[in-house]
Amino acid sequence: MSQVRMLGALVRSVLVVTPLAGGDATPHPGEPASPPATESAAPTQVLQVRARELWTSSGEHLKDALLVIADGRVRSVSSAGEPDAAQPLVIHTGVVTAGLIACRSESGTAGELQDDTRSVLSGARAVHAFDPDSRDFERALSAGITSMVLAPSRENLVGGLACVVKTAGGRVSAPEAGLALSLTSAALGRSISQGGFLFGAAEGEGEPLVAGPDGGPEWTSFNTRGTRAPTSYAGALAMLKHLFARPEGPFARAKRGELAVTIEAWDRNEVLRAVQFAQEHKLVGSIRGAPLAGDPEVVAALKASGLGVIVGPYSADQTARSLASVKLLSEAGVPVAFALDAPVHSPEDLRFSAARALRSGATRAAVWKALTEDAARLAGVAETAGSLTPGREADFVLWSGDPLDLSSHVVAVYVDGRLAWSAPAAR
Amino acid sequence: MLTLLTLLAALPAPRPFALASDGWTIRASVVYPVSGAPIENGVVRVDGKKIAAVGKGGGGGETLECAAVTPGLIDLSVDIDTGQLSVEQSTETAVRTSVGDALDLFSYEWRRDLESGVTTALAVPADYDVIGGFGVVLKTGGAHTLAARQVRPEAVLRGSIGTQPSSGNNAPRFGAPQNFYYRRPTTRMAVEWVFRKAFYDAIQGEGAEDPERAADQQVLRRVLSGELPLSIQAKATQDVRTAIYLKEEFGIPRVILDFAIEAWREPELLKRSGVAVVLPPFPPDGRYDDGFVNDSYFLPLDAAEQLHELGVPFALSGHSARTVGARLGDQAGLAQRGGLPFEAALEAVTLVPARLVGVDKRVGSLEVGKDADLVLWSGKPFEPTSRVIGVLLDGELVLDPRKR
Amino acid sequence: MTMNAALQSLVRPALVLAVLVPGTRALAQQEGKLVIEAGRIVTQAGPDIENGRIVIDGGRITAVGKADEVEKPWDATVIGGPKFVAFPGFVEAHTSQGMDRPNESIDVAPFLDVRDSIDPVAYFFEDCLRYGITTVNVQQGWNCVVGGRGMIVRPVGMTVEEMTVRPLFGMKLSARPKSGKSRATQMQTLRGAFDDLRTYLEDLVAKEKDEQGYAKREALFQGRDLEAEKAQGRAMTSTAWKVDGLELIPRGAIDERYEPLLGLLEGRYTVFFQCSEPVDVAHALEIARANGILAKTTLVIEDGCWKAADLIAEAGVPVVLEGPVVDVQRDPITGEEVETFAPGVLHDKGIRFALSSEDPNSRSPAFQAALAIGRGLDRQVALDAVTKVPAEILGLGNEVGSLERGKLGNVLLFSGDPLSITSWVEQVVIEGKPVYDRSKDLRNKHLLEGVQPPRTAPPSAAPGEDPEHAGEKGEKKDEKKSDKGDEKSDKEDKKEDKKEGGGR
Repeated sequence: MSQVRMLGALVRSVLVVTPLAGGDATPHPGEPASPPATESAAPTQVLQVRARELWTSSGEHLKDALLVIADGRVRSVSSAGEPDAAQPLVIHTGVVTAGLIACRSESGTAGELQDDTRSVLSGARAVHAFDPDSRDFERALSAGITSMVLAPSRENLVGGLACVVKTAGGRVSAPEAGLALSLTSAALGRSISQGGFLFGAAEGEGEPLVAGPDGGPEWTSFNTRGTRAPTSYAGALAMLKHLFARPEGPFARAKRGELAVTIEAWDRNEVLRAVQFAQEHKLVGSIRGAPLAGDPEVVAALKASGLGVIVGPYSADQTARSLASVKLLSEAGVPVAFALDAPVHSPEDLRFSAARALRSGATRAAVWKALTEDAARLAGVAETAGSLTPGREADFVLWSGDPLDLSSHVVAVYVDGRLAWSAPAAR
Repeated sequence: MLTLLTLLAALPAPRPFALASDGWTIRASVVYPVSGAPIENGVVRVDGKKIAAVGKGGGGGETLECAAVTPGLIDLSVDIDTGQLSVEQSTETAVRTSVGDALDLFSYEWRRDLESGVTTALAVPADYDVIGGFGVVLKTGGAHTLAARQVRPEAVLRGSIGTQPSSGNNAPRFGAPQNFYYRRPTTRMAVEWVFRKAFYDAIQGEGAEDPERAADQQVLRRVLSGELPLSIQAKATQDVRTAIYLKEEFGIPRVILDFAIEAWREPELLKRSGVAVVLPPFPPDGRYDDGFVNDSYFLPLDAAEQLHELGVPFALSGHSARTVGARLGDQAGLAQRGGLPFEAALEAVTLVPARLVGVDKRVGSLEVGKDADLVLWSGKPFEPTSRVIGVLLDGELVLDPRKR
Repeated sequence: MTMNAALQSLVRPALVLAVLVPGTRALAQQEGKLVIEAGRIVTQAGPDIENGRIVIDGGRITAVGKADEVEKPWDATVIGGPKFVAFPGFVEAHTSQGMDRPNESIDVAPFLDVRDSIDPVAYFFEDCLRYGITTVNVQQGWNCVVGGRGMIVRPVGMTVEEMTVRPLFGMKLSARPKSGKSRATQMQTLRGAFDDLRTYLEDLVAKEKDEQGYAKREALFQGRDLEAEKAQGRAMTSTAWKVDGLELIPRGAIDERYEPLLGLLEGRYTVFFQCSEPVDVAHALEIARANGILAKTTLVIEDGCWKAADLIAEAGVPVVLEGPVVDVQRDPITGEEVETFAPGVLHDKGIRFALSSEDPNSRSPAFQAALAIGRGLDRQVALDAVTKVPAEILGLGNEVGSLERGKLGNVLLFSGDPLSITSWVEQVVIEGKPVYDRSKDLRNKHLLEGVQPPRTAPPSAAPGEDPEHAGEKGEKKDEKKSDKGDEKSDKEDKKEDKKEGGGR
């Protein structure tokens, strides 16, 4: 379906849709009632969007807003401005917001982010594992998600480097977005096909446990059994200290604050241990997991460390104590974002998690920040994504109503100023 | 009206609500300082986190009353977080790892020990390695961080002799071994060999070009110099012998035998070697089954009394027992049932364990300047007819006798 | 009652057998009287007596009082002394130990009798003496639906007859599901047991009514006196449901497999109803009420059942507390441990309860009572829970549980205050006969000092051989030997000890 026909269908659907709460079904006077014949949304061109309501980063809800895109970036955002009649215009009777950002997902990677052979894979990069043509991204788009953080699994002590990708066009916003560490029990004592040593053979240094005739590893009938180091928290911390002592490489960059880290930690004692480690090595970044991050001692430790927390996704039977975390963390000023864990979880779970957090007492502003701005911050793409301010990349979503209300749906999604997805016409 | 006003003016200003900052005064029918004779109708004054006075008079702050007060009890053999994740098994001598990195201080078992009077504990890595790493002395209550609770971070180096370090290991069968479980010791013999090799290499400086090994050997040399005590689990008679032979071969000054069920069978060796012994809880019929192999051991009820007669330093332990009637205080009662005098039983759960791990400057007795860790009893301590009704930890009331 | 050779070898000549109360058997007596002196006598029937004396004659206490007020018969044996504390023998309200196997695989087996499975030399009875338990109610185990009858025994004697105090006492029912059953099927089977009985009896009556003529002809043919037999039938006397016309059936004609259950309904047995969860309490009370046996029911409750204290109080039944004195449970939401002092809860609701020695951590009733006192239970209530209350539950309220004139001479001599951890049961007297002396107790010596008792060696040791060096002569051992003895045989000794120590 060509861009033009899609746009035409969109505009028609927008015009006939009944607005949810006040709002004008008829086009503004002076504007063309039919779509322009020219191709819109080419990168060199300008696109204008008129929306009944537009959410800005500062929490303002602009009425009758005008959003102007140029070269794939936001040029201006204003309220009740006059559109340029010569440029394409999209009229939306609902709400326009920045696209949602999902931290920690495995979309489009088809299990390639989990490598069992070694516990430390500091050179591995998630960006080489993702398939931009995967259908996972279309599903993500339909849930309003425009950027995702793809990170290696939590089953490796050092999983590698995460990346941030756009959910359309296969664009990589940040090829090395952060170093993924795991201090959770899932990373300890894992079975693999080859053994490892506490110090040494972790990254292929030294001899493999079983040498074959050509010097490579020998695969015997027992090759599916075996356990790799570390098997304990103490061993994990000892290994990490050893790695962080290196003068070069990703660990050194992390120590200098040039590379963010995301540390997986779930139980409260794991979280406190991770926070202490981060403080000792002056690391920046976030903790992933921490369902009980709302515990007063944990919140205090997180605040002191400057780390953020990536929570969720929240399931239907999530306990009240963990749902309250978003509220307590945002009150303490700790940045929070939501993880997605797609494709195991449906992309809709992002908004679902947000709604559950909202219901447990978090403010709308805090939850919205967690979906957009703080998510961008913790993902490391705060300069380019997360809000509709001039200069940022034009990733935005047209909603049929309040995005924090689960009964609203996505009408259309634009990524880098281009229409990436629109809801099917017949509803 | 005027009279009333003048009367009111004459009254002293109402005291502000007595906060913990004013401290505590504990009045007891008997105060057991351990470092001195018991004091009848004694008073212990707590100011801030420390003991300010022990004697017959004095006051200040809030008052608590009880039948007896003792120092907080000290258990050198707790059983909390001793799962496989507490010890690094990819090597049999994980010298520089510390159990402090693995403890879950949110676990309810700490609270259980605290409420039965155990205020300080020695946590050690699980005994799956021959040398498991550092043990940590910590308080059983307080903020949930190790930094807040630890009294001595590298308190002991933990070793184990016997069946546990070799259990779960297999001999390689078809071709070369596949993972480290196939390379580890499978017999007591090899366990002892690993021990001796580690110490021997440390003395000779074998392989010290590798900085990791050099660092490990540095720790072992601290053990050899007596700076760092070695705590070895040695359940069976043969394990006790092996441990003592190792001590004497390398001249290790400070060795503590932990869970030493059958140490009582080797009185001469104990006396001549100068080891210290930590006794496990007394089982009802004296029998202990080793869960790993078909070993079964015997601990007579008078084992503590025997060690006391011999002059061997020993501590009792409750090993984090769940049932009421088997905890550390109850073990002190059972030791008395076996003939140990009361004073010796009290010492064996307070000052002796504190000395063995080098924290006796802070805990173990009621003396001015020591940590305010106190246990308040409803009757004579360790009798089944009395119980722990109050606990102070670092001057904070964590179990309130007024609510019992 | 004839005596067998075993009995003869144990007792002195010229013994006197006294029949005490119908249904109880007396312990074979030694001639003469027994006097027990103690620095303090805890009578459990009034204030303690300092420097006291107890006189026992014919198995019963004839005098208790201060030594200068009670005359010492010239022909009495005297034991005890000023350093002892005398206490009534403890009463075990319910146990399933001391038997070959405590359970049977048949669900409903009221016809079973523990008499057939009690093992007089079981370690359990030996232990009873060490802890001062002088009266024991042995019942079937909990792994049943309707378990069978129990009996009250004394823990001395080489035969069950010698041990018997009251045979065919009590019947075990279980609301706790038998292994493999769900609670629904357990209840169904319980109800079904009574339904089956009812159907059976109704069938019997119906058949009898139908076949009057047939029965007459049968009796004539067999030469039986039908009228005389009929005279032995009697109407059913249950309080809940009755089968009319049961007087037509001679009791002897009722199938042995059903007859005990009928006896249960007619109030002949005390019911010991096992409950492991609070819901079992509700079930047990339902069954008891439906069949009119509530008045004879005693609940045997395990940890956690204190939560159903209101139900128990409302029903007015006594309980035997089989769980630990302090129930430790984890709160599923906060993850914290909650300790509940069960006897305190029961006492606050006015429930009569007995403590039992099922807790493997301590078999000692004195220790249990002491722990309960430590947790705040009134001292007298705690001591009653191991003496008076179990005695009443067993229907022996006039016989045991305190040191009073006329009661059985079951006396313990403690080395100090019975509630102190350092006190030992030094001597035990059952019905006037000294049956235990700790100074001669070899196993106790072993426990205390680690000295292996002689002649408790494994079978591999030749007679007269030092068991520590068993088998060394003439046998090559690969293990390294030391002066302390062969370690392998040490281990074997211990293994054998373990086997001997079975019956726990």
